[in-house]
Amino acid sequence: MSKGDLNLLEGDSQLSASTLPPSEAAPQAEVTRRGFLKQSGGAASAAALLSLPKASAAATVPVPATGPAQVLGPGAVPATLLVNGKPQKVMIEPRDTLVTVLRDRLGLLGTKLGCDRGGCGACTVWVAGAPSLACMTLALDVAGLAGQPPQAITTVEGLAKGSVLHPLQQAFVDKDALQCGFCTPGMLMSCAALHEQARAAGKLASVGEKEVREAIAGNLCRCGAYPHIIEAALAAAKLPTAPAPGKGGVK
Amino acid sequence: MNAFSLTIPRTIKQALDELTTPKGGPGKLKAGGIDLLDLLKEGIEQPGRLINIRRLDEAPQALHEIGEVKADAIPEGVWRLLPGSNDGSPPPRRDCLRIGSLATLAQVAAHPLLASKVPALTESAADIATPQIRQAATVGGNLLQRPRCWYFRSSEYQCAKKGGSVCFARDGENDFHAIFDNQVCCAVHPSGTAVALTALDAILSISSPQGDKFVRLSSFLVSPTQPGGAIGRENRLEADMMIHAIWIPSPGPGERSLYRKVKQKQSFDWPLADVAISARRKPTGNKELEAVRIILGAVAPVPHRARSAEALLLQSPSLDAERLRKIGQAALTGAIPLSRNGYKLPLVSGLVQQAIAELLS
Amino acid sequence: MSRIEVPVGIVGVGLNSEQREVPDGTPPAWRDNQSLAQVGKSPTRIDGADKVSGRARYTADIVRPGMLHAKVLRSPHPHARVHRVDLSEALKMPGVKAAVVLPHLLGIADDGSARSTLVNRVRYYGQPVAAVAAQTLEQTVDALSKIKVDYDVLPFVVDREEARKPTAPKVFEQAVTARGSAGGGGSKDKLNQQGNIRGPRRSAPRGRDVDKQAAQVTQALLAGPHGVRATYKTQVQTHSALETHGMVAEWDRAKEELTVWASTQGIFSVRDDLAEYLDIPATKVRVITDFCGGGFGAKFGAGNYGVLAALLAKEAGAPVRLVLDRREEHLAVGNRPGSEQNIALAAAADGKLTAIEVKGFGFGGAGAGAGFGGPALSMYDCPAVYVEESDVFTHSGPLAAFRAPGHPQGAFALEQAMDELAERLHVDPLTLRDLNDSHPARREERKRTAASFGWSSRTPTGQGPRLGKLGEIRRGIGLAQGCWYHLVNLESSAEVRIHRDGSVEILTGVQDIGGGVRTPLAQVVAEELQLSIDKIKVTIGDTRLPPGPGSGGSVTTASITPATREAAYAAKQALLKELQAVLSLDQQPELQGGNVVGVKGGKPITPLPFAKACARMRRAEVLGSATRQPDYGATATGKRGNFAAQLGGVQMVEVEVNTFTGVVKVLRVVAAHDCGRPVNPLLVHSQIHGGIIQGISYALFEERRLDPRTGRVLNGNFEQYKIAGALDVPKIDVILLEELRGRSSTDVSGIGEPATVPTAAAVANAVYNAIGVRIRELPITPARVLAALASQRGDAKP
Repeated sequence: MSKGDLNLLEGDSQLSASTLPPSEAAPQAEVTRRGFLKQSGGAASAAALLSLPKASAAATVPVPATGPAQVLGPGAVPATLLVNGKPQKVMIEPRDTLVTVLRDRLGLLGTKLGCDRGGCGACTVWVAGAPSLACMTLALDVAGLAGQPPQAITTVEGLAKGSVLHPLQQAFVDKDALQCGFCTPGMLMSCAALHEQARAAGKLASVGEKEVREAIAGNLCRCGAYPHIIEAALAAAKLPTAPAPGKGGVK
Repeated sequence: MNAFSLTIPRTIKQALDELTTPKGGPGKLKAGGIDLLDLLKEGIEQPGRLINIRRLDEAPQALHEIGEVKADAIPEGVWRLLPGSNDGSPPPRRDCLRIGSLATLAQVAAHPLLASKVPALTESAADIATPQIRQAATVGGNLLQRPRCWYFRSSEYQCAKKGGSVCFARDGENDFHAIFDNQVCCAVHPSGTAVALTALDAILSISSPQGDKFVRLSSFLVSPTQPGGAIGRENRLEADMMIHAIWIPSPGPGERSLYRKVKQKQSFDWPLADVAISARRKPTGNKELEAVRIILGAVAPVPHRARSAEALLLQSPSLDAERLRKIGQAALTGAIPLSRNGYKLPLVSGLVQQAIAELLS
Repeated sequence: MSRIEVPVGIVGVGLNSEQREVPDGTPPAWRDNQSLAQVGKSPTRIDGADKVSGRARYTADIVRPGMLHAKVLRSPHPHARVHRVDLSEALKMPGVKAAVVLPHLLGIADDGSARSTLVNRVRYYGQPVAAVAAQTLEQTVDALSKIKVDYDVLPFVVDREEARKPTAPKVFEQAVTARGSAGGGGSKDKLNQQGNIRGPRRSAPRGRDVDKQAAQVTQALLAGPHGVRATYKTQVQTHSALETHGMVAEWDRAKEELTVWASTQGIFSVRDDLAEYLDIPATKVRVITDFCGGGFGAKFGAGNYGVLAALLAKEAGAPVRLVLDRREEHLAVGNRPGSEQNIALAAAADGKLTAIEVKGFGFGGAGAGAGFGGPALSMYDCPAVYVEESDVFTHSGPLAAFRAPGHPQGAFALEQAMDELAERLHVDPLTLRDLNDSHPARREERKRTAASFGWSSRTPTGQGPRLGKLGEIRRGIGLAQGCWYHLVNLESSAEVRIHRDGSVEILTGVQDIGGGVRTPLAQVVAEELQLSIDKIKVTIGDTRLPPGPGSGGSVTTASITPATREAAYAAKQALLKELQAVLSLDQQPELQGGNVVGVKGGKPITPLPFAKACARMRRAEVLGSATRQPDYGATATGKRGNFAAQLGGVQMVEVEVNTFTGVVKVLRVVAAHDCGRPVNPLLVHSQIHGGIIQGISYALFEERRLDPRTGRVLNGNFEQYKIAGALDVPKIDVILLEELRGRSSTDVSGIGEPATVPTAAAVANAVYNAIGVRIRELPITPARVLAALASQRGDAKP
């Protein structure tokens, strides 16, 4: 070790239970909740001292941590998905991905399956307003289960308001931001999420090319429509009175 | 994917209990699930049970949140592993950044406090995969991600890492493989945040049935040839444990860090090599360095510390082209390229030079 | 026959009027686009809303009552004899309704045995063997594992060098032929075949004697005084359309009729294949393609998967959906073959080319991969051109036609060689091309591209500014040009119906693979009938419609728009004739400014708006139909000296090379292209963007990787098979020529292929300009850039 090294201590304890030093008893936390602190020790308790962003704390639904672990499946179990603002009861196997359930059970065929490995973004939908890969999401992970509400799913079908296209959908048509159209639903969901997040932050008009490119970096378009997609996303951002999206909007 | 049951524990303890319960065979923890689903879909992993820690009722904050903890509130386990003073006395307590293991890469990438204190980490998180993946993937999961070696990832190759007898890549298509420590398994560690966090001297707190454990990331990640290492795994996490949080000593004045990654293409690609550097300047005001860590990624089974380069860099604050070249060269000390990855030598050398120039000049 | 006047020339450069002899009833020629109301304008896609709303239904979206799911069993071996395929256990599995063995293998070179027997040999990893249909996809997967196949595993070869050795395991025991497809691939010729090498096929520009050209080339290369010679290599690229190949097949037992929904570029090619392989009349097969998620050449014919789907549907008596997964897509449904080309150029002191010689090999796996000589044979004015190319078979997935088959490969070699020659001659690369290419469109494209791009600011190679903190970033610019051909498929018919309510319908069995053909069809008819395009309904994608062309070889709009215009013209004549009778006009009225005008009793009638005029019809509708006629005058395509038959483009590219890491980024592209008369410039721009972006991806990223020791594909996914994404796409400026040729009633040519031909070569030339060392192998990876820079430093050592 060189003299000026950043003080790396050699020989950390082994991770086996016998040799690792037990952690210090939990210091008194400013905020204490539930009984878990005693179980989890210092690491968790320290979290109570963090300066926490308020939004996420508020988003938690408090459920007493008293019941046993739920075991679902391996067969199909009844669950509720909240898709485009509508609760949908559906039987789901633990191994079912969200894209399968949306397409095969709920008949929402706008969401496409391109690679089934998260490599192309064709299956992009919003989960609680964030662009997510429906092929890499277990449907039960976003479903309503005992004690836990479903997360809001928005698919391309939920982007338009009735027959009125979302401004981005219209811009995609106007700028010819598509060719074969297979990537388009996923591409739209990524672009629209960028827009809605920018809108929520009051920054829609200043959405720039770099942000658009980054927002769609996980969406593959084999036809190469990118230049027009970028144009469309920028043009839609500049619209004076872009209305808010349809059901299941973005946080 | 094979059929499996999904267990939804309410508490961490339940999650750990589920991991060790004999009923239904061994379970796998699932957080963001990105890497796990990949492995399941390829049939590399076929667990009978998944234990979903994404929706614990208990302690969502402790597991998800990011913030700074004052020196007097850090757990002793973290304190013991903090960087020591140069005179050999016990390490002083100091403020630490704490990241819940279930924080997503997107949250890490966008976190203003982290961006200002440990830019190497936010840069590494922001450069991983795609926006959609960063939205789901957790930082804990990223540290535990299995290698991307295409032989390992194909169920058709029973490679040494999967219990077979051969490393197919060693004499096969090894463009994207290790140039260091590549004699047993030449798959590289895939985690970009691991590179940054190693440079930042991060400490993991780990939940286990016996209570919390603490370990430096640099000793947590082990190559098959290192003490405690085994070819079938990339770290020392036991079957009944989970990463709870990541602790990073808050950088003091004069400390800075950076992460840079070389990708063949700029949209969704794995690094050909990446580097994270953390450095502390002497308080004297000239540009002399007191400490530096240069950690290389995608070149070895675990993040690789370029000690010779560090030593050379500490010798003098001068960064003329010739010295930089020598430091870049020193970063290759010990490298033994394979048949198809010799290009990584100039690439790593060049990357290290660029990164140093950017961080320090 | 009658004669019409047609405008000929490049709009903006100069138009001449020429005479053409045309069949009677041919509509008069349109003048330039500026004079037209609908054609040459850029209305948005008429099916755009379907695509952005998620309403557009692709093959994988088809759901039929009682539909089963199917999956294909593929060979895990690159080479094996198949003794027995036992389906009995699979058939007993839960949910399984049918299982079949593939009767004959399509898509590979034909050794005469493939069509007559059940598959008895596998020649590539991933080759389809059998398939199962069951109620769920999971059941299908489980059942596949129960199929027993006795393989007698044989030695194989996938390495390009090894395959050429006389001792290499042979892919084919007998001489083979190979079907071409959509303007590329294959050769029916009986060629010499030794081991895995088939050929060479010798060629010279059309109309010239091959032997004489070969001799002349040899002589010129010896004479010099200026010459270059080098070997260029290109990789295997997979089509990777975002929608995988797939089919939903439904068998009507009572009628013995098959209906399929297919993701295809050619619904009639699917129909004909299925009729042949199921041995039923073509009238009993209906193929429907509402939307197709990209094809790029790989989606012609029924394919093995399609035959399997149809057989399963027939056996199960239930609809079957068989959609390939992403991995299968990389293994077994086509690719752009690799190439190795040795190219030599010679020029006189004045820079005029005296010889072009290309000799090399194409690597199309178990198919015939040669065919890269196109650019060398047709792009430059050169008195001596000779091409010698051979297929090299390997035990890997066979090629399929891929956007401008052979041409990106050929241009990669030829256009770099031209730059090398320019350097040897101390002339600017642009000047050298001006000296050797008199094609008026290329000349104009070079001129406009250079002006827009700022070509004159090009710094000498390796002397550009050094950017980055350490001077490690270098920039360079490069150009390349490419060619393709005005190709036409005469099996293109359309029907236009004008209804009494004034609505208009186009019916033609063409299909949209992304180019957006519905919209130009509507524009053409709207132009003829003086309507707006929203009045026109376009129905395509069904073999029950009049036959349309397959969408490949850039033939679609060139083939179908003239037939459609002529059908509209015929319908219009029928309408006007009807109106003459109904309104008792002195003579047949005319359509002017959207109104029917005529004369009755010597006096003009009040002009009747189109809809009102239609309302006067005694019949519910009038219709016109037409079939694509041969081009006015000669139909020769690609013939040197016949400029009107060549399409092409010129692209200029700026790149940035990081000499420390070897990473190349394309910063901007200016591309000028011609496609005859552009019907919808917006849609043409989209296709040019696509061609360029695929070209960049081909130049820098894409490569199918095989494991030489197992013959397996290692990167059958979108993670390790690297395709350009949004952050890899440069700013692209498109310059579109309107080049009128007077060849058909719309005078349209294609754009899909030519847009991708020059890109990789232009990128390579720009990389050379940046770093001063030439990279002759694709893709231009950091590894290759760093190796090239290392060799450059080595050369510089004393």
